Amino acid sequence: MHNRRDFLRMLGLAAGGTLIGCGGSGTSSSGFSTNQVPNAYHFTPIVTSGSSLPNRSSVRARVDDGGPPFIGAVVVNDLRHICFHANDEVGKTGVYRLDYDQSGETSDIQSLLQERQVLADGTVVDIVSPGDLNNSDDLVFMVEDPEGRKTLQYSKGGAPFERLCSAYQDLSDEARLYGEFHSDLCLTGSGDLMFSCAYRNPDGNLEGEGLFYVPNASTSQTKRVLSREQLLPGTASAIRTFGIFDIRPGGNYLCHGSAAVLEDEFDESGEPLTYLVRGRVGELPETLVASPRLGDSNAIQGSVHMGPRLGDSGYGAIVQSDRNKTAFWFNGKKLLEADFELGGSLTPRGAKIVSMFPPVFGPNGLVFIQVFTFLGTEILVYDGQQFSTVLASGQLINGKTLGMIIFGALPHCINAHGDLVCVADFTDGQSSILLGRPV
Amino acid sequence: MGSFEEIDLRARQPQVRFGFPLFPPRTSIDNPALPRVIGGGTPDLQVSNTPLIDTTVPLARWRLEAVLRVGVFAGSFAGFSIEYQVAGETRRNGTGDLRVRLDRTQGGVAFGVSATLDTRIRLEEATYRYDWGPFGGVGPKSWRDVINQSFSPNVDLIALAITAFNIATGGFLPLQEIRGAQTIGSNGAVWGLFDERSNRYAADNQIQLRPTVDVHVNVLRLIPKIGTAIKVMAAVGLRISQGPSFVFVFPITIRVVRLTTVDGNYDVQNVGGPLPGTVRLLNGPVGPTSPNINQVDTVHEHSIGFQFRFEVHSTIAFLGLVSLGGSTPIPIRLFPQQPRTARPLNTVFGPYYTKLSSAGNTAQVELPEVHWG
Repeated sequence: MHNRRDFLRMLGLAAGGTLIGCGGSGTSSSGFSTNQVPNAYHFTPIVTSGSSLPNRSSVRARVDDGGPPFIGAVVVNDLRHICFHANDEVGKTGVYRLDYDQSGETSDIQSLLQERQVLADGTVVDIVSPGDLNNSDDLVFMVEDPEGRKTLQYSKGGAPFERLCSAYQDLSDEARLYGEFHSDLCLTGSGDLMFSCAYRNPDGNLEGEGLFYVPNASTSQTKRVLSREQLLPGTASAIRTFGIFDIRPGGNYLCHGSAAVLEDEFDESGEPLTYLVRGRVGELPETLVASPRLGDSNAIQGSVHMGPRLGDSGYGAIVQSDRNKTAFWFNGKKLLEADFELGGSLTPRGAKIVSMFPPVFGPNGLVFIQVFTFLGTEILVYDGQQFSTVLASGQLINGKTLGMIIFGALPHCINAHGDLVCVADFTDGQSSILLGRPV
Repeated sequence: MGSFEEIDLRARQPQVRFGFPLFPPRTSIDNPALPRVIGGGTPDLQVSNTPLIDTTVPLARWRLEAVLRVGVFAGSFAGFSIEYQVAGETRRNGTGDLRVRLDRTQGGVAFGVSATLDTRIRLEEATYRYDWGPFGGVGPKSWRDVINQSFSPNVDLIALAITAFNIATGGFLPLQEIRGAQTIGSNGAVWGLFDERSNRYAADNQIQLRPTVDVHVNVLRLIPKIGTAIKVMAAVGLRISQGPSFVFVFPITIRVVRLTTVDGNYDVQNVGGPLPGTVRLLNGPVGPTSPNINQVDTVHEHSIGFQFRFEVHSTIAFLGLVSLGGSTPIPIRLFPQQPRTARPLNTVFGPYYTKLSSAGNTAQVELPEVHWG
């Protein structure tokens, strides 16, 4: 045993998983730690390709034309309940729940939603959106039936799903839904929900897309937070559509989407002009990022195509400046740069970053982000001063070499205990949902 | 004092292609348009190729490339037909009263949009080769397709929108296929959006039609090849939606503004009539009037409020990681008076003047297979 990393690894093997020190380099003899960053993470595969699922099915064994075993959508709440999407061996998609306790012991897998399942309102499940899970075990998904009808299905505290609303429904004076739902949803711990859908104006005519806020799952109280044609603050441009959003308890939100310059006759580039705004329900938002042509010189200049993330310690976004270059901005400060052709910033392990996933906010002000490099991929953690590597491709988990990792596909993949969940593909062709617990 | 009873004025057997054009050229109260065949079913075809999304996003070791285009053929013809019965009296001092009743009016527009949705979505994975030689560095990069879906269906967006709307709502759109008209593009029918009103003049001293349609639907799942691709993409977390979003409202307000008898012309004052459904005649010929009037002409004034927006909305999303989307206005010009622009329009056209005569044989063409409603 040469160093602390070896000691931690031995400890992990004894505990039935793998301990990986939060280090600056894979070959460093000392794991990096501060008061905030855990010394190490204990990673355990909790579901693996081929594992049994309820109803006598099993998780798809390998990636093939029918899709991967796990698509990457996985979340965890403070009650240590995990919700993940998986494809089974006959190609049916489903959403499942798995609980674990403080020691890492896991429960049986429960089925939440499965393709072809008939819900209480008669909806036949065909395609399920990534959805969300909060700390009260409330679950929400956009469910599309085989004919393309979308409904918002809500489970209160793990109870059976009930239809919250459909895409052509008057919920309140401000929310006369009339058109397509966006598939993305966000749920706060107090059960407040944010979604986007086309709506009608008071004249009874289609206005366009709106961003809506449902306090405590009470649809009759639905408020329209942002609207089509609303001026983008600081610009002479108008909001046209909404993309991905994040909301926190109290109504603080972050949202990106597309906008159009009012005096422009017609944009023939096909490149969407994007914005990122931050606001609080009922108040005017501020523009944080805007495409240069939208004309807000006070905003960060660039495009936002990736999901912005909001945490207690601020906001994070991936801003794209051309087809190859992206940067991670955290609270208005550029922390990392990526270049798909040449490589950008260096990871703690010395690899050049080519691209990044959106950040994920953890407890104690920690910010996690998965980066991709010429050598593979790493999950990094930022403690306000520097980055450390939490997990990297090439490392061994239970004796198997990590290949691809998908972390941060949804915002709520770390809980208050610092436990994180991700999807890992191993070089032997197997895939797992990995649970990482700080040590 | 002269009087007249139950004189019918009409463009007989109202038909979509017979009546008055909504935008008759160069009319005035002294030079009103006469009923005629509207548009003749020969739409003014326009071709528009519009990029919806053309973006590349570096994502992990993947490159998500999305190119969506729409090519649109569009064309239209528009008009209204009207019939009513008049009665009234004229006086020596150039005034009189006019009752308009049993009015029946149909108006609207026929239009078609045939679109080619040219869609390409590629998710490519890069493979790097590290060079361990003396100079180090990253070697050549190659790409492997994770997802490569492309399709260019030629579709009638309106037909798909109607189907999608009906499935989604269980309701129906007030659009009707007009089989008597020329098709639009290579795969598009002509659709009529119309409104019909009866017995409005007695209540309002004017007639207002309000043809309205607004739609925001995803049509992709209705296109078989794409419907299959959507399921394939959903299995890896990719979601795509695309469809038309259009608002089309054009209230047509019609008033009788002149009555002509054998004695001469009378102006019609449409407010402050002596009885409900009766309007005043003013500024007519002074002196003796013909006692029994059995032939009259009327001149109508009509104006058209016009709200129009036609867009195609597209969204490509990958889990909660990426969302590319937008709502792209398509520059469709339905009427010659409409500016060639992609901007939403909200304006009023008119007034235009048209004329009906009880003496004339106003029904010129009948196309029984083409009914409004």
